[in-house]
Amino acid sequence: MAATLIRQPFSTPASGSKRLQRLPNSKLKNPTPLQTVLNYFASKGQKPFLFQRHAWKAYSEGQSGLIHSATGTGKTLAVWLGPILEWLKQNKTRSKWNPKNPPALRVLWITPLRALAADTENALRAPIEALGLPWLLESRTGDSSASIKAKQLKRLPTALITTPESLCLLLTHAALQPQLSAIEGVIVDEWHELLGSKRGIQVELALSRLRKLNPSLRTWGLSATLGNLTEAGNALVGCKSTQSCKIIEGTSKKRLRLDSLIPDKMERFPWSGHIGSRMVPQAAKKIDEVKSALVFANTRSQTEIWYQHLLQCRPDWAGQIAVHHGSLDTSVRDWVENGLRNGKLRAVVCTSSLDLGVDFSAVDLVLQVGSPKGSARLLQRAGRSGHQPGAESRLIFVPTNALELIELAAAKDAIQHGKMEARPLLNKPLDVLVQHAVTIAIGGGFISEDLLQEVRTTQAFQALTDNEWQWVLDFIVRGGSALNAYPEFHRVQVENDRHQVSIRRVITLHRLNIGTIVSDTAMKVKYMSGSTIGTVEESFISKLKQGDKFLFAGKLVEMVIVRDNVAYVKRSKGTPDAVPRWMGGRMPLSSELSAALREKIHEASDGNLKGPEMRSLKGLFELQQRWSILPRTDELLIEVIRERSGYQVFLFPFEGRLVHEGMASVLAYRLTRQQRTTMSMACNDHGLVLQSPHPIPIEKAIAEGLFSTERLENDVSQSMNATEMAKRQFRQIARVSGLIQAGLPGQRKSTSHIQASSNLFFDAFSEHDPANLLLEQCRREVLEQQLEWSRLSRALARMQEGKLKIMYPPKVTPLAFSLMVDKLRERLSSETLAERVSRMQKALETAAGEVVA
Amino acid sequence: MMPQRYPIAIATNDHTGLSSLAVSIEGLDFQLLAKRGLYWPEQKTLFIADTHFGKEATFRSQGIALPRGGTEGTLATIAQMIAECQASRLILLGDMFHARSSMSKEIRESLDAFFLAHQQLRFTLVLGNHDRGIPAFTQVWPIEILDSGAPIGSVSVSHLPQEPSLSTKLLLCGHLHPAYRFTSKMDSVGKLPCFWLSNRQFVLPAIGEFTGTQVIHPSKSDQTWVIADDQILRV
Repeated sequence: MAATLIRQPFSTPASGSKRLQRLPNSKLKNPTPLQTVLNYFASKGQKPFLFQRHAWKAYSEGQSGLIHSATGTGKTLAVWLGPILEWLKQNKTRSKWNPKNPPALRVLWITPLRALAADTENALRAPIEALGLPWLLESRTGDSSASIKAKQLKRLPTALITTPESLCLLLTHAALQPQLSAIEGVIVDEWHELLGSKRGIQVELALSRLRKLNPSLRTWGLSATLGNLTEAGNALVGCKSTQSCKIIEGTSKKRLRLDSLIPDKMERFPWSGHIGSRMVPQAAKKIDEVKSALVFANTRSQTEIWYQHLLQCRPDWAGQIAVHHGSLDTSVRDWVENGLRNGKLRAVVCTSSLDLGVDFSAVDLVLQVGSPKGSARLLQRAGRSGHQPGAESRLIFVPTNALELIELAAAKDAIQHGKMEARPLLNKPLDVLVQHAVTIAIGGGFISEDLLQEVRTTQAFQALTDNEWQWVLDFIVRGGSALNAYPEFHRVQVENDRHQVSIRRVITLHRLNIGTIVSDTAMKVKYMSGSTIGTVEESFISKLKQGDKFLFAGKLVEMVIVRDNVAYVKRSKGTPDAVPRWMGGRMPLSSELSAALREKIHEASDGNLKGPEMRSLKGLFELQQRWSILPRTDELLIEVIRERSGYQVFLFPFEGRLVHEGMASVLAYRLTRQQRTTMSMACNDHGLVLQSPHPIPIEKAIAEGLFSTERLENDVSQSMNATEMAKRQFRQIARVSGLIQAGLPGQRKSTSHIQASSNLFFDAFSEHDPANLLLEQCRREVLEQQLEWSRLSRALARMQEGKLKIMYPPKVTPLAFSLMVDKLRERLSSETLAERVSRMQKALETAAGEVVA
Repeated sequence: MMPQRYPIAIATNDHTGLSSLAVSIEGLDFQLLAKRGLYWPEQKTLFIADTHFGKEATFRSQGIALPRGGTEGTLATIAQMIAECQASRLILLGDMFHARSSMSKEIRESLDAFFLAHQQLRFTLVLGNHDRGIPAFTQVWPIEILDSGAPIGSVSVSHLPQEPSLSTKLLLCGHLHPAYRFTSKMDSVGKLPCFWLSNRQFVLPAIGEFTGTQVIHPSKSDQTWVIADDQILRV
């Protein structure tokens, strides 16, 4: 067991103390607004941090800004007290404060998670009550009751907590415009979560509208520390803003401690694998030492498996530990969250579902099972523990295989050097713009040129061309730009140059479907008694037969019947037949962490093993060097192994799984064009393997431009099933641009005749309106998001320049091992669909025959 | 040069499909067509199901941009099958139109053209659930209406799957838009539209271009034929 202590810079609580000494006490009759606030801090036995005072000052000067820190205490008050101070300045006479007549709307607080709204409301209410402000503070989210929402539509509260979706809904009400124009400040919480997603773009557009209504609007964001803070800030305040974005680093005196669980018997620890069940007893011991722990796993199925393993290891913990992930029903999640809040749960095994928000002060330890994938993520997770004043954040990393220990060592380095991941931004996604334009058309209408100027002030659409804008207008007014392709289309009408919506059902449909979140085709899982446990993907349920047992929400359940899109189950005993697999969970190693990983291996090649993780791998490194080499950062390691079954070429670019997938396909495609052969391939975060029955002339191929970035886009789309990937990507685009309805099937019978799958739209556009720009956007998103295109071309360029190290190891090396045993190999194929089906049939028959035999 | 095809695919040529497949069911000889029709030579009759004409017009009228072309495409496919089989009768097993708002001007024009070009064709429709509430289209075009369960030779026809009467050998029906999900450990090709024979009920795939599908789970005694692009394969 080893420990590292990483101290983060912090400002002492004494900062600003000189002024504090001169403060009059609260008994003074007319304290200045600042004194009032300082008294509030004093009443809690605290003093404001310097960064908080910076933020208040900037706010009072009318500035906008972004406050970031890795683990956050004090960020909320830094932004929240700015508007309060401002109001106090304008309303000095306390006797005139009348809670029965609260001030009109002036602050908007945007939170990415509606589940967070309640906690946020409590946090924001505390100073309002302590200061006796006559403010009305309310939330408005998808969970708010209809009566509250109706009341708010007449008069909004002084401060409103809302989600991006609910904010956009407000924009569809023209009557609210005078109230929205009076907003003085908008605060966006967890901006790093929204940034780089379509929800973030939605917020950017909504902010541009609010800024149009009130040009002196102040916009403030709260964010975890990112690698691209300036970009994050610009996206928040808009790019044609007269004011710049003030970036304020929040400080925290919180200490951070990162350790790894080093296996007791390192020599017997596997070189591959992703469950890490061998580490359960050691992890349980750590959990036993603390009051309450969060155990983060990377996938939902892994949480279910770890929960079971922990229970098997410590049966006495039944009832004291729980599972939490995004597929569980809200009621189940609420129960778990409450258990964490009041400290009743010893441990919760969770996914990123608990990355955000809610502060569980009882949690004093975080365990991360499996690769952290990124240093910012690791830091964020560590910060979920030690919320008690003076406590330190503690994270223990639980490796699931030996090589992951290098990743943790790399992550520690990255954190120590402050190398956080950048959040890549999206560039003008037209589907979101389509939705926004309809929103504005409903909420009072717009003149084309005005709205164009307005959306060009956002970072996402600053480079929007006139043609693209015209296409968006055509799409919402005429259905598309293709002449005669969309007769009798009705959505947005143009009257006297004004784009507006007058058809009631278009308005209703749009309001029902505002948002950018796509839920997978999920099926509800319910007990026979009717209570809902959660949702699971339809494709998983469809593979189950009646009586099949599977793990869900930490319980073993048995499939009873599927009816009306609901899977009914009952509790069961015995062993599971399956663990549900949810989509997603394919997050690749970040490029920052990949670079740090290459550094660590470089260090190891020099025999320079720093830290307990690296030292524990001494034996493995020696073996790797005996059979092959450890590549330095300017080297590309290629290992060639010949077996009876054929030739295997392992490449180790260390660039993350997605890049390796695209790279493997391109390389296989290029190799099979030079030589008639069949290739199969596998990838992980470290490298890729190509396998062929024939010798692979790798050296010659590289000399002839195997890694060339020329014609890369063409080779990628030729080698991968680009259409299938595009269809998958098109689901979100169809959803956001209002083509498919977000509602659950059967929920709104009145719209059932206009329900269609996104595949249908994809096919229809491809065949009858191929110039539709949503198709072009889809192609771009596949390249950037599914294939990490830019990273792929950079990686190939780096490989072309690197020194080649082609080794012929006698055995499969530690680095190559997990690629070697990966059974899920993709094949490069030029077969027709019918041939593929036949081949699969044949394979299934053969397999069945073997079972019979 | 393209990558070499798999030896295993070459070895299974006997599996590889055709654009039409002769089948014998309950002693009757049919042709299953990859264009999603079923031809019965004995009766010179072509059966199709679920055209959902005008679905795209319905979507457009509700403010959802779906380009025109689907109805024309479906009609063209039907015309090709009629020509290839030399069918004298066409029986549509329900859901001819998608909704009331599907009868837009350009859809009517497309159908006018189809009927004008097929004046010798006997066009029969078994009313489906979507056809209800669509006013008087049977008077606009020469369409003969059959009740659910009506006999055609030794088989009967209906829109919804139902137990065939004892007097007929087989029930031909639609409604389900059946599709078969094809996956193995190594590969997945997703959902493929299919013909599905179960308990003397023969469900046809939906022919309409803009129609979706529904995954079926055939039992062991059932027979299923999937459509993979322009080929038809027995599962």
